[in-house]
Amino acid sequence: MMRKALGEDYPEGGFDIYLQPITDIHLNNELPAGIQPISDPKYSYILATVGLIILLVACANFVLLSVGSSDSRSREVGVRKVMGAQRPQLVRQFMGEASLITIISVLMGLVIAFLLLAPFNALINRDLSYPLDIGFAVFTLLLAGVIALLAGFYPALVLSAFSPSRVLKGRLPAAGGRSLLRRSLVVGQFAASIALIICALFIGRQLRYFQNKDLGFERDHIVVVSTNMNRQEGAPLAERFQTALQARPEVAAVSVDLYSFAETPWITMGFTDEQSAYQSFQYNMVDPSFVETMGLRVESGRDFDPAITADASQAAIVNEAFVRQFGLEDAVGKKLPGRFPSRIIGVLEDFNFESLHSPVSPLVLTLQIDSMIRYTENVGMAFAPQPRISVRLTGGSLSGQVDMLEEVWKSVAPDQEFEHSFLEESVAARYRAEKRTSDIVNIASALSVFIAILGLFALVTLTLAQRRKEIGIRRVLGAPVASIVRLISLDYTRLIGLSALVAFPAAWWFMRDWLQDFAYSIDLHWWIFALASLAALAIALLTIGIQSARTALSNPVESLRTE
Amino acid sequence: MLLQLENIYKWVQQGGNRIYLLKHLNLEVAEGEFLSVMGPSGSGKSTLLNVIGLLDNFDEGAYYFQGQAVHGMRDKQRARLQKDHISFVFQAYHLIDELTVYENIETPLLYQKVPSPERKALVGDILDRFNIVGKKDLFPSQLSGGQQQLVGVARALISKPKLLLADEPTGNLNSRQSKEIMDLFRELNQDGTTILQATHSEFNASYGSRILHLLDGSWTDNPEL
Repeated sequence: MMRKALGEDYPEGGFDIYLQPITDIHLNNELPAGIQPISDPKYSYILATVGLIILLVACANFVLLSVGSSDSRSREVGVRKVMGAQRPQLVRQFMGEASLITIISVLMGLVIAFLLLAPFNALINRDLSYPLDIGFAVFTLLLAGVIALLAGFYPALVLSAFSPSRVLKGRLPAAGGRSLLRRSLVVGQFAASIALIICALFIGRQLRYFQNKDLGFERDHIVVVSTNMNRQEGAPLAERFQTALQARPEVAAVSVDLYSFAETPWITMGFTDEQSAYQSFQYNMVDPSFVETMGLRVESGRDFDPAITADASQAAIVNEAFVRQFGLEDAVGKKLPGRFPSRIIGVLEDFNFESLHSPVSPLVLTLQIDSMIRYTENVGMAFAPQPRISVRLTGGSLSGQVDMLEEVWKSVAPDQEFEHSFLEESVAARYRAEKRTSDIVNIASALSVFIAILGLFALVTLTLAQRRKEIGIRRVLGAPVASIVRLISLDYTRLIGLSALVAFPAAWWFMRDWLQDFAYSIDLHWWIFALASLAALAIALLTIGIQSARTALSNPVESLRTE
Repeated sequence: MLLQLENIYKWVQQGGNRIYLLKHLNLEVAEGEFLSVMGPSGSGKSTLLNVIGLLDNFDEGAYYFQGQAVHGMRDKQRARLQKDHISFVFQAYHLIDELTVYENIETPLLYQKVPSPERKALVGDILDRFNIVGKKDLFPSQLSGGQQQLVGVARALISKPKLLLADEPTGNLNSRQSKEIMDLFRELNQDGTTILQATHSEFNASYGSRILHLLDGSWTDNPEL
């Protein structure tokens, strides 16, 4: 098969062919992309988990809101009971209401999902379409059924249990706001919200860390221009471009290399060492101005020197990771390991030429690729090798200077298209998946907080209705409004504290797991946890405070009226 | 003169009509009086008590408490006046269910920022005086109606008010309990507390040193029977 494709270039036994299951092509991220874009299954799980959390929070909310409205429904229940309604009939009534609301919600959900599909696709950078098959319909119905049961059953039980004589006297069932289940629901909601806020904060910080970390090379003010030609054809053009640019005052430095920092990994080379172990390292062919242009730091030895002709064929520069990997002490002056004949003339401080997901790989730079490729046992490339020009500008407006670059480009290659990219953007693009997660988690946490606040609002309303008389008495006895607000808030502060205790381990575990993907990551600072809890507490207290202040400010005569 | 109402009006707007709850009402209450206000349901007794007790506002007229013009006061001053000088006894007792007898009686002192040792002494005295020391750790639901109202009166008196307002204080009690509470009121009045009670009962009203009849928000000399 390979012979057919490659013709006479085919070396006997040079390739191995494997089969990959077709179901695997989307979510297996260990092989390169085929006819489907690859997605890390982790992101599907994150998305599903976040969706489920929101759904559960919303269900808890429905229960809280239904029970919260028992204040207004109790009289109805009382009257119905006096009229002869049996409890099962009332349960059926309330379950029916819950089902109706669920069905309407599911329908609305379908419509909203349909409308939001385009923005969502933009957010997750995918092209999902609306599934219109039996499986989806069954799933939707099943989901609706489960939610209706979950959300409707408890309120139905509570509401139908009211004793008519008490209710009609205007008295609410005692100790309603203290019910363990209701409080657990609020705790659950807030735990989910706090956990999501914590995750959002950490993910945001990790992203910012990516953007701000000193990578060991210059990424600002660098424009990468591709020749889009193979090495033989592109090299003379690139060099003409380089020479023309060096005369320009806006240009600080120019380097022509086989790969720029926008295309990583570079070339992977491998060899078998003395212990018959397979070793690999990264390789790039550069020119003598590479180190200067990219702002790399020489740790020991020296940079390539254009004046020393031997450098072109016999010199190599490695990084510290390389020195560590192959245990080279006083590396300068030594030969590269394996059969590579070049001698090390300098060691560079480690710089993150690859994404921060992985630690710095061992790296070899030479001026001529022939000095390496002839001796390597294995070569791997993710990007086509071609001369690429990295231009470091002195500063100022990058986009304005791009016009200058294009003008110069046109003068050296009038019939070749000018293709450029900003290194800073290319580097940032390595973390596109993380940016997406961050966006998703941000939206999810905002949504979850919003829903949780609604639930809290309902519960506080119920509590205040039940404690209305007490609040009235306290007011008549001379209690200031502030003391009433404090009285109600204290109770809920404890609940939020409990939620935080539930949220911490969950968020910690999730974040530790997520951060393990990166060789370079932020610490799980405790203050982020504290900050998230405080934020949730502040929002909750605001809700409670406003509501209880309103009750406290209302005329106590109203709440103490006995008729 | 403890308090003085001049031409008090209070109304609510219902549809396009004003419904008068209090209408052209004058009243003078001297210090040390025991005044009974009688009248049928809806005649405005509770409204009058709420206005005098500063729980509710009125729409027109003047109200002087110890010579101070209440109608010109800000809410804060009014709240202070009420906290310092006026106490209430309710028909439905209105004790806080979640607090013990002791804590219920102590609550007004908390809001007056009385220091703890002093609070202890005051509550102890009144428990003694009302003979309910043994009940101090019980909750309201564990007491009979009469005992609950006793706690209610104790709570009203703990802050040594100038004026005690009682709205149907025995409305939920049987006759023996009623008599006990009324006897207690007479005793308190003899000790110098000014009392203003609203009641349905001729018998209770007879404890007062003066009886006024209210009908449809105004005083009347011919109480309908």
